[in-house]
Amino acid sequence: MQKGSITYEDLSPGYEFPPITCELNASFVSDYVRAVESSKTEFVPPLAVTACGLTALTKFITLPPDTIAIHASQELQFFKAVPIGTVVECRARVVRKLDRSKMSMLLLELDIYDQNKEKVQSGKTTLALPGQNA
Amino acid sequence: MLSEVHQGKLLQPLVRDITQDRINLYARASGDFNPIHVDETFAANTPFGGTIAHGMLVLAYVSEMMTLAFGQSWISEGKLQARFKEAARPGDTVTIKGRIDSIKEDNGNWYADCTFECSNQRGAVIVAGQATVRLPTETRITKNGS
Repeated sequence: MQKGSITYEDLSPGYEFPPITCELNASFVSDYVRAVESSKTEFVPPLAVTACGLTALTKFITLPPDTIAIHASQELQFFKAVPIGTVVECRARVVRKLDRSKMSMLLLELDIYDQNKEKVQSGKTTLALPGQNA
Repeated sequence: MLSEVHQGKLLQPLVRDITQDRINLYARASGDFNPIHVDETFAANTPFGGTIAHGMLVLAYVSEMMTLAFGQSWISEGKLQARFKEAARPGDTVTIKGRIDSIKEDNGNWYADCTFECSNQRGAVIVAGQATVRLPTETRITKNGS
């Protein structure tokens, strides 16, 4: 798990998050499959890979008090099936940040690699932060 | 898995009930305990007026629909773009639908471009988007299912 954090205010386009490591072990996959009512396969459901990286990433960002972040859009591309037990590394950066009175938006790009340094996924995540008066 | 595909073919829809228990299960599995999802008191004082499901939970249903239709091709080479338009809330029943919009050939491989939509019991669209998947080699491509 990552150490430290960065405040939302300090994020700017080009900022690269420290790499985040996730172990996609059988226990994690079992809990995930149960939660999303998915059929069991020998591979990690691709969105479980994404969720693992995204959750760790968003925990790294300290939001202003009483602010929430919600998912506005998601793009994903999968490059290979990920066997259960794989340790993945998520690398992410800030692409765009928009601050408006009623809504702030943060666009992140992420690439996820397996332990052989092969890319397994890439994606773009837009987070929306509704303002107090939204 | 689909053995035959054609332009306009509808994917097998999924229906899922959103409950607070389901949201809590997803929070525990993913580690995402954002209070908008799991803290009913906190969520009541936000513009949403109550807890909402994780967008990635609803998107997982889309991925499940694609996996059931296209198998390992989806999990190893799928591509999607999704927009979260409305929140899914406890008590909602979400229907996930997909359709093959076009089938194209590229470098000897065949790909299906699909659109998908998740809507609640009132017909409001929660998530909408597009997905592309390479068709497994054994898939038969026909015109209008003939």
